[in-house]
Amino acid sequence: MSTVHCEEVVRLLWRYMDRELDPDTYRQLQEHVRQCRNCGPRHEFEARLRAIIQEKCAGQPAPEALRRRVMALLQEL
Amino acid sequence: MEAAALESRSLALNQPSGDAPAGQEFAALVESNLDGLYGAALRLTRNRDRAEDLVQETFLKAWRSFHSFQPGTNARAWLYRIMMNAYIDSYRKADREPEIVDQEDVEEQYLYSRVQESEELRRQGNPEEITLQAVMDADVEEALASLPESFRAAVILADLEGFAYKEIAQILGVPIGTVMSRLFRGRRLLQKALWEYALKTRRITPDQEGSAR
Repeated sequence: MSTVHCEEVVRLLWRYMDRELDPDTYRQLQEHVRQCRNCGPRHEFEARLRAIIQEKCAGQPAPEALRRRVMALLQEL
Repeated sequence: MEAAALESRSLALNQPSGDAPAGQEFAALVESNLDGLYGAALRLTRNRDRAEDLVQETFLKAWRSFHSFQPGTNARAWLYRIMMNAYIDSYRKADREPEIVDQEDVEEQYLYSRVQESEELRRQGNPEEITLQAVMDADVEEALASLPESFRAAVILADLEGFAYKEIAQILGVPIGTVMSRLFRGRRLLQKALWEYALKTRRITPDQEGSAR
């Protein structure tokens, strides 16, 4: 039974959050993050930070003029 | 409309006449991806006119190669790939800012490390909450815009558009290792910019060596 160390979590946290780890490593990190008093808050902070960034950079819908331009283009083709 | 004329000819060659389904299929693709592409184009170009031109060019190019598009494959990633290529071509032609590669080795989770180090934040109570509040107030879009092109593209595709590393590799035409290094470096730089913003607005006072830069 290999267990992950905190340094591993620091290094792999983004890949963990991105769900870009193999299932085994993912589970190990998940377990560690749940239990560790250092890594839990670190993960929570990163997750909230990412949510804020997404919220603040939320896309706006394309301008109506662009939609018309593109659709007009399609008509011509 | 020279391009359009050329277009009709190539269409006639590539697709049987009266091939309405292809047109309809493509129109549906436009409809479901227009807002997403425009949002990403805006983040890339930082300019509304250029973003609109880029999106239009993307759909034109996409239609041109739509006959070779395999139904059932990832249409969204395919469109982003076309857009990234068009974007890279255009900014290579334009007076493109040289890519600044920040060789400084900042650690993962830059912001969290600064937060943990700050005596001042600890004195104020809840360091994480104060910092996240500062980020809420920060101009995050401006911080994102300040990143060098290639790092910004990786952050946009992963964190705002939600693509997987493999998809980003396809979209940007680079190996997955390159995607990860650009993405992680981009995130660190973004966090650094946000930390500096928090310091500047004096929500957080620097209280130790190195934290101000």
